[in-house]
Amino acid sequence: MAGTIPADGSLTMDKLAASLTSEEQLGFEQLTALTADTTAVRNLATFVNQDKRLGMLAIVAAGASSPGTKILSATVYVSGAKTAVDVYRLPLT
Amino acid sequence: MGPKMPSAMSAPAITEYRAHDFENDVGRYRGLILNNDLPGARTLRDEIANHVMADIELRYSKFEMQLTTRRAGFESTADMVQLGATAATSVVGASEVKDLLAVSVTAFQGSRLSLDKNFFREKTTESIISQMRASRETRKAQIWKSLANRDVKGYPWDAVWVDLVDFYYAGTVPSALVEIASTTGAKADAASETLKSTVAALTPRTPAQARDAVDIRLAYDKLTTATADTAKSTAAIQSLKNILAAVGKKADDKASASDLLALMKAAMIEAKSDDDKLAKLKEAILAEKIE
Repeated sequence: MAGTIPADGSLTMDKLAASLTSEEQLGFEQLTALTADTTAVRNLATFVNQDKRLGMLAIVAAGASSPGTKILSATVYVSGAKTAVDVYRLPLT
Repeated sequence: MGPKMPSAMSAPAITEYRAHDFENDVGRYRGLILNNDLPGARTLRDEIANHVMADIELRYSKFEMQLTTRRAGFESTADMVQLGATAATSVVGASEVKDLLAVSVTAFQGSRLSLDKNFFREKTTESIISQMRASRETRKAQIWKSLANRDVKGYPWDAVWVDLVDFYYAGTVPSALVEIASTTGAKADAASETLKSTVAALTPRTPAQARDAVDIRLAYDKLTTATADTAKSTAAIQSLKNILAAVGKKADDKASASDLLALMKAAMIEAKSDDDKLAKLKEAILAEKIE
């Protein structure tokens, strides 16, 4: 379902990426924004409808290297703490 | 019930703002405005406002006491409304003021028919009084703040009067019932929003589950392509039926390929927030060996 939905701020980078990927793949959606909620320790993920199949997402610390294409940078909650991250789209497998 | 009110407080002669005094004061106020004596007009505006507020306060105190002690004796909501309205018409004596309040009384009498008797009875006297007090305090603070901070250009007597009428109504049962209802409604809306956001929250997933989701999506795409290929469509349709059966989704015997794909898509969306459904879907797809 396209729209903005909250994501648990206690997730690790791997689990946050996995959760976003799962939402995209099963919901026929595409992540367009990821921000930290100003009212709670959680993140807000925005999706749009996307019928085309996409590669998995990977989240790394800002500036760290990763395969794929960087789609956005943000400061979000990771393991309960605000962290600057880069979000990458991995190639289709 | 309570201690007897000191005579100085209860004597109407001291607190009651008589009609001709009110009319004279408003007339003087308008004269000062015409003569551009704005400081004088402001002082008089404040005096008039405080006189009216004092009258409303005294009448309200009596009304609240009656409401507390005589609730059981009231036969209907209308009695309560009528009591408040009657109190209102005696708050100030000016004829135009009475006319205004009389109009409101008529409105009350009409609207009381629409007040749900059961709804009223569900509210305790304490909750109604508590709401009236809270609303009155809010209105009173607003009036005082405006009187203190705004001159007669920014807050002329007519604006004060509108706020005073609002202040009076804040101390009536119908107003309290409306406030209680709207507060309850707002809380319900907030709870509903919380529930919605909880339900809609992103389901935490492991990297392995994310790979399962990718595999499921890949299978869906392959099946979509295969159903459009004459050589592969029969097998693809059978695979779709098998997958749907495995996850408990019954497809109509006459369902088309697009119907089956729509059902699979629905199953995938359900798996977004359900680990068991995700696992079953992955297992069913693995069993089909989709190429």
